[in-house]
Amino acid sequence: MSAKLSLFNQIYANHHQMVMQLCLGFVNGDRSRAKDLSQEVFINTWNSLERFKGQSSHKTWLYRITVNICLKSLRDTKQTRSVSLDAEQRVEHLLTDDSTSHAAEAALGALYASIGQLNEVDRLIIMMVLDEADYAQIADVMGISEGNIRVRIHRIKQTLKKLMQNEHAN
Amino acid sequence: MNTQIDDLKALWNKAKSEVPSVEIDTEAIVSQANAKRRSSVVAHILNMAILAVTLVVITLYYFFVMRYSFMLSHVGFGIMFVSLALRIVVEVVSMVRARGISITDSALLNTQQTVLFVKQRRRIHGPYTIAIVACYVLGFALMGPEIYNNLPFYIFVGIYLFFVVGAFVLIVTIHRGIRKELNSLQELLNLRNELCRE
Repeated sequence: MSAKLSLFNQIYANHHQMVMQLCLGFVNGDRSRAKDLSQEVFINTWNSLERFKGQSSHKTWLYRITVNICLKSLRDTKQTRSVSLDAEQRVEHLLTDDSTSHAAEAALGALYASIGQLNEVDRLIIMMVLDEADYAQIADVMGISEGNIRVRIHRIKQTLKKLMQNEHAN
Repeated sequence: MNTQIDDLKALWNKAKSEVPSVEIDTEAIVSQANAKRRSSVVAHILNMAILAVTLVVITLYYFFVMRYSFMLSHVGFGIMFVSLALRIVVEVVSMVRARGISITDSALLNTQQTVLFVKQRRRIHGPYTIAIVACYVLGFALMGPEIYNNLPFYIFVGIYLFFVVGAFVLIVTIHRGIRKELNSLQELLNLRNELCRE
C-alpha cells in the first residue's frame, strides 16, 4: 500500500464520523444528501493530499475541506436557507434508526431543525463549536479573526437557544 | 446558556459516535477521485483542442483550398485568426485561475478566489466574447467579396444566412450564460459579506 493511500485510510478512519456529522447538520439531517457531501469531501481530500503541508492538524484541514464543500454545494444546488424536509419528516426519518432512544432522536431532530434555521455560515460555525473545535481552529477554518469568531459564536448561541425553545414548544 | 450548549455538545457527540462505522471502502473513493481529476483535465484539454483544431483547419483551408488573393480577404482572415487565437489564450488563463482555487484554503479565501474567478468568467463570457465574435463577424464580412466571386450566388446567400442564424444563437447563449453567472456572482458576494460580517 502506498504511503499516500495509507495516510488517506488513516484520515478517513479517524475523521469520517466527524465529516458525516457536520454534513448531516448542514443538510438538516438528510442522510442521503449528507452521504453525498461526505463522499465529495473525501474525494477532494484525496485529490489535495499532496498539498497538505502539516501546518495544521488533519482535523483542521478536513474541517476546511468540509466547510468549503458544504458552501459550494449551496451554489451547485441553488439551495437557500430553506430545508428539504420539514422538522416532522426529519424526526420521523431519524426515528427509523433503532440504535438510539426516541427521546434522544427527537432532541437531535430538534437540534438539526434549529441549526437549519441559521444562515449557512453561522450553521457551520456552531457545528464546529458543538464538535468541540476551539476558537483559534474555527477562525483558521473560516478565515476570520478570533475576536470576530468569539463575538459571532456568542450571538449564534443566543439565537440557537431561542430556536431550540421554539422547536420544543412546537 | 453554557449548560444548554454543553447538553447540545453531548447530544452532538453522541450522534457523531453513532454514525455507522461502515467498512472503509477508501479504494472506491480513490478511484472516483482519480476519475474526477482525469475527467476535469480531459474536459479542459478537449475544449482547447477543439479551438486549436478549428484554428488549424481554417488556416489550412484558407491557404490551401480557398487560395484567396484579395488584400481584403487576407485582412479578414487575419482578424478571424487573431480573434480565435485570443479565445484560446483566454481559455488557458481561465484554466490556470480555476486551478488556483484551493478547496483546502479557509472559507473566506476560497470564496474570495471564487468571486475573482466568476468575475473573470463573466468578463470572458461578456465583453471579451462579444468583442471576439464581433471581430470574427467582421473578418468573415471582409472575406465576403471574394467568396461572392468564387461561389455560386445561392451558396453565398446560404453561407451568410447560416452565419446570421449562428450569430443569433450564439448571442442568445452568451446572454443566458451571463445571466446565470450574474446570479452565481451575487450569491458569492452575499456569502463573502456574510463571512466578513462583524
